[in-house]
Amino acid sequence: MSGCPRRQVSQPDQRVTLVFKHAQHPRYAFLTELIQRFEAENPGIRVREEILPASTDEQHQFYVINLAARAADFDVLDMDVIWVPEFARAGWLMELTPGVTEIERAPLFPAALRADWLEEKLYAVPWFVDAGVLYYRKDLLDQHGFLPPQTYPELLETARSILAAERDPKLTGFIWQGKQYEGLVCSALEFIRGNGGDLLREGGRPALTEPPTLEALQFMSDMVRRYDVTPPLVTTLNEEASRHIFQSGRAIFMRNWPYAWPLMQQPGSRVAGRIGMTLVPHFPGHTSRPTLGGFHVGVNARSTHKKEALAFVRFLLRYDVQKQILLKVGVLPAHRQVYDDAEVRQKLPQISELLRSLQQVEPRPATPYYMMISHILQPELSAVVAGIRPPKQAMRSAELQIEHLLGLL
Amino acid sequence: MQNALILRRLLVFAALGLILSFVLAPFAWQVITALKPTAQLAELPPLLPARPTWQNFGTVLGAPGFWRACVNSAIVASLTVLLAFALGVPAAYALAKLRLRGAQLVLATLLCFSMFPAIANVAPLYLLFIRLGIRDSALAVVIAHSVFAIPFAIWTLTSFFKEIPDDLYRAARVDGCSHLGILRHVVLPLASPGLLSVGLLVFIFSWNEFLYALTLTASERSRTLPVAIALFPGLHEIPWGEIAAASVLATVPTILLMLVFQKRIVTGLTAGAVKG
Amino acid sequence: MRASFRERLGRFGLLGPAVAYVASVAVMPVVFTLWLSLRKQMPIFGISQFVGLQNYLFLMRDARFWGAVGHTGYFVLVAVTLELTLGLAIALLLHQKFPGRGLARALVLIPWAVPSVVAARFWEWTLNADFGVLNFLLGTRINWLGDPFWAMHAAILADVWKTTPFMVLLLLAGLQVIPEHLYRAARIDGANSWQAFRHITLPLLKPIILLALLFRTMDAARVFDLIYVLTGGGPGNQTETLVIYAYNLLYRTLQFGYGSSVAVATFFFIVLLSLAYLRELRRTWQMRE
Repeated sequence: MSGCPRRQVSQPDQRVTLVFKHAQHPRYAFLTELIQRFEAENPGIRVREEILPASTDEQHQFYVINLAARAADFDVLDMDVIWVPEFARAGWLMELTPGVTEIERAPLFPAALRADWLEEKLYAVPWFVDAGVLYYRKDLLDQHGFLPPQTYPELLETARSILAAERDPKLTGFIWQGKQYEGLVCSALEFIRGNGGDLLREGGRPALTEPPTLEALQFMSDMVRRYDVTPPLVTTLNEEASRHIFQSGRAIFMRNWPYAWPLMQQPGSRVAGRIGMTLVPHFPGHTSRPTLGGFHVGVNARSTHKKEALAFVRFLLRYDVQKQILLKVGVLPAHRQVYDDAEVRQKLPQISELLRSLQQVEPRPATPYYMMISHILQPELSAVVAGIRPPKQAMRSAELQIEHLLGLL
Repeated sequence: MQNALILRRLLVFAALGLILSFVLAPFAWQVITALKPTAQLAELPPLLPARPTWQNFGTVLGAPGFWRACVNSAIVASLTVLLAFALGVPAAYALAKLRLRGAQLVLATLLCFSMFPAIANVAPLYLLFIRLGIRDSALAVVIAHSVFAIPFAIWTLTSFFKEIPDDLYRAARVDGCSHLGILRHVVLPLASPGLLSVGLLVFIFSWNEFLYALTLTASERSRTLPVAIALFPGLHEIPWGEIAAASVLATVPTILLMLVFQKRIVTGLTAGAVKG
Repeated sequence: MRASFRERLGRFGLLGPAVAYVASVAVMPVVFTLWLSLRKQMPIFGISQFVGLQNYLFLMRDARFWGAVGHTGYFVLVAVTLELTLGLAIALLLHQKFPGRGLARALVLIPWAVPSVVAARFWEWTLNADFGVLNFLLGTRINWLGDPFWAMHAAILADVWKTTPFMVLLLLAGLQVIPEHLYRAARIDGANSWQAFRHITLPLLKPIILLALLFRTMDAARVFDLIYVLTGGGPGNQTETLVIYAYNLLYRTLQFGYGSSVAVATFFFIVLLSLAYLRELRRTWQMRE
């Protein structure tokens, strides 16, 4: 446990105000409760929340404009995991080592922390994580005598059999996020890595045209065009749209994030009590690699209240705080031990399934170039899914663009 | 003769019906979505909710900052219109009635500048406002909006002012009327349909503008309505019902404005007929 | 007759404030962007150097840029044409006298009154191939936003819905300024409605039509919110417009230099489009004098 909160050397009633910029979550009133607890424990510090729009693009835009302009009017920032290497490299984040000690870091998911390190220094810490999961219609699988699939070919067979048996024109087999945006990269990575491929090689050069990657992409395209298991409208689906289709009972399998589970289980939902959640599939001979998501907190390098900001960051990593983040705010905490907590297991029986996913999770490449790579990759992946270009051509084009970009730098 | 009139009336109403359905259908769908309970949002059928709920509207109206955002939007839009008229009317008058060399070129250039893609402008403007200390204020948003509104007002009003016959203008000059006097007594009354149209368009543009309003405001103090809607919670989850309710509520004031003012546009015509 | 000094001062007072105001606020960001476009500016990597016209030279060879030009051009052409035609038809209709005209006029303006981000979200919802109400009403399963062909046209549909009221309002105000007696005289001379339209309405409406076209073209060429929400520029970049490309470069990948050059190129694209209208407008005004 960390030591006593630091006291202000100045007068006790001269409070320091920390500005915490973050996006809104549906249950963030509970986050405010946690912040009030922090203030109670640290009488010299007040935390003011400033809300950012829900769209991650708009959040990124705000940070970019302000941090590039060296603004100092916010202290603690809430970042998508994929922005951390970029911000760290740009020198916009304060170094958190040695402030955040080894003991505090140890219980956090190593995969999540990978994005936070740059040249042996830590620049952010995860406060909640996310991992892709496979949802399935338990009732349909039970009815037709199938177990939840572990490989993509199994999923394909299961879906085809059920579709043939059900003869419901409105029912589709497998939906995931195929719209041209970051979510597509997350979904595609699970196919690619589940086949032993990846985006980048060890040295950081693109590995997009290697056979495992191309096979996986061909399979994705075949799901739509050859096997009719994934509908063509997958190219319009983001998280919410796919959730709505699955929740209305019109899909057998869905790849999505864990947030959807409580929403689909609430009364009034067509599929309440009829769904299951499991690891995303892999291809035979390889392992499942769900994509890592989640948000990290960091401190503005130009903050004028660095000590206090650090105290707040460390507060968020505490075991009891992380537990409340799970139970009350409803997002998956970054602290591994919370998942073994008795109260947690009792209240959230599906937590063990989620833990399995989190243990095998794989982050997107933790490089400052990631946003640029994603910018190049998204249209090419979308072209594959929409059937506009075959995988080889699309990935060749992506590779050329990435090589060109890396050469420019 | 009677039959032709009736047929004509019927055609008009048929065409009107078609147009109104195209125009109103998405809006009606928003209203329906706002009334649907959350669990049923993506269900089709049924088209209409079996048990419509006012919960979404309630959540929105009770949301902290919603009313404040409405007020801010109203203030920003009104100030933008005022500024557009204050600066735009004299300029349009000068362009329309006075023979000025090069003036059109200057104004065309200004129009071009105001047409620069906003996404490129937004960052430098934001940084400028930080330096000036007016970031996160209604003033900043008004300034940004009026940069577009003023050239638009000038160009459009010039066109309307040009419709006013020159002899009226010359007669007033001969009578010794100053420019301001001409504006007040001759030009403005006759061009009131145009003025009202421009005012309405500028108001609505400012009311709905998003990018500058988002970037230049940071807190409830100055936030406008479209930005408040964008701040509805949701990392993945998007509260469609609430957004629908909020957008319906956001549209109501502008509809009311239009209902009120479009009547004035009609009477403006019949009262101040250009000829006679 | 040379204008007197007082007269010229008066004119300066009329035009001056507007010019000064717009110049001081609008010019700075534009100049800044122009300056950025001549640099390689990537704050993440600490790169900040002057590179002259290098960005523009790369732009010429950038296939993604030219794709965006094509998409934007197509969007502008189809959307503005539809909006003008529909807008004129509706304005003519609303110019007739019938009971309930006032209400109809107010209702027709509703799409313009909806904030564009909200409208975009809503069309995204409505156009969804699975649970969207459009497919439900038509009884089809068209993949509106995900099919390479339909996506751009779905975006055009949403834009036409949203901005036709703007055209209607301008054209209606223009129609109301046309003197009634001209039509009466024409009817006495035996002209029918179509001839009256062609020889009276259209010519007298021309300045307003050109103005409306000018503004709508400039807006359509800068389309961003709508398409970004509906398709994100996809599928496979088939709907990526110039401003979306510039936005991605500036704020997603933090290539401030290159992104600025795309913004500048977009600006020139718009200026070129507008010049045609401006010249015609000026000609029309000059003919009147």
